Amino acid sequence: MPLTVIVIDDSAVMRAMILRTLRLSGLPLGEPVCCSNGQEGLDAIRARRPDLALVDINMPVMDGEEMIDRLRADPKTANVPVVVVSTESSDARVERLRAKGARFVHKPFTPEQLRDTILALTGIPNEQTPTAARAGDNVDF
Amino acid sequence: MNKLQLPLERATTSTFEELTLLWAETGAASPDGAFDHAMRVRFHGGAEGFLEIRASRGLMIAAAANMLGDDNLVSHEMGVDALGEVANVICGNVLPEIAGAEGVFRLDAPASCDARASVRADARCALTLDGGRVEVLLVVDYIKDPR
Repeated sequence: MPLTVIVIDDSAVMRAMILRTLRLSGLPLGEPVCCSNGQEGLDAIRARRPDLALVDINMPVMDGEEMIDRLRADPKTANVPVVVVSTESSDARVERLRAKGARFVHKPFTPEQLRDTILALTGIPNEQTPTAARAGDNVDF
Repeated sequence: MNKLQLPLERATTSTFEELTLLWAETGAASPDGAFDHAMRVRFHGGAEGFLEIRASRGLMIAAAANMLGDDNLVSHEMGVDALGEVANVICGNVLPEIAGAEGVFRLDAPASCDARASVRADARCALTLDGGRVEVLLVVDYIKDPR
């Protein structure tokens, strides 16, 4: 069953890079949705109930941490799996995000780091993912 | 060499290598006015100030192409976006080095600024990479808990 994924980042290049990395990682993906700030992401998650949301922290309009707080406060979206993909390095904030049930991937990241974090969060067995493509392979997005 | 210089050089070099797949040699600082575009990221919280990145157009395009994995998708806007994201990642990686991992930092969205303006930086890192040249300036007004 393909994963429904929402990618939320204010950088168009980073959104494209995350999608490319997801495809390189061999995860079974459906048609992804991209959003450029936390409010857009919140609206998309409420409308689509995705299997997974990949979220930046520092964004205009609504930052990623506030978006996660609002997700968790709503019973309809409280259990949506969230991976934070950010440059954020402070121990305090990373621990705070983990306490809210989010996993953390630090930018810059490798396809393997992103894949392993998603596998651990979604419970997809590693052997169900096709062999990951090699870095440098051409992948359309 | 001040305490900010080495962390800035490390963060800049590793970010370009890992995020844009562009390898660098540290060079002498280029004179102001020699770059095509600049992006600035202001930071707050455990430290206050800004990080600015200045780049030649060739560097911006090369970085964006490598991040996207496709030369054909790169426009000037994508180059600007890529430069801002590189600045964001360098900033996010250098702050814990200079102000401690316990601190919480807020980074503003990268914004374009004048690539020719004179800036009195506390640390400065100039690199020559495959795609062109780049210079990163760090200005720190305040550090709550200096390393």
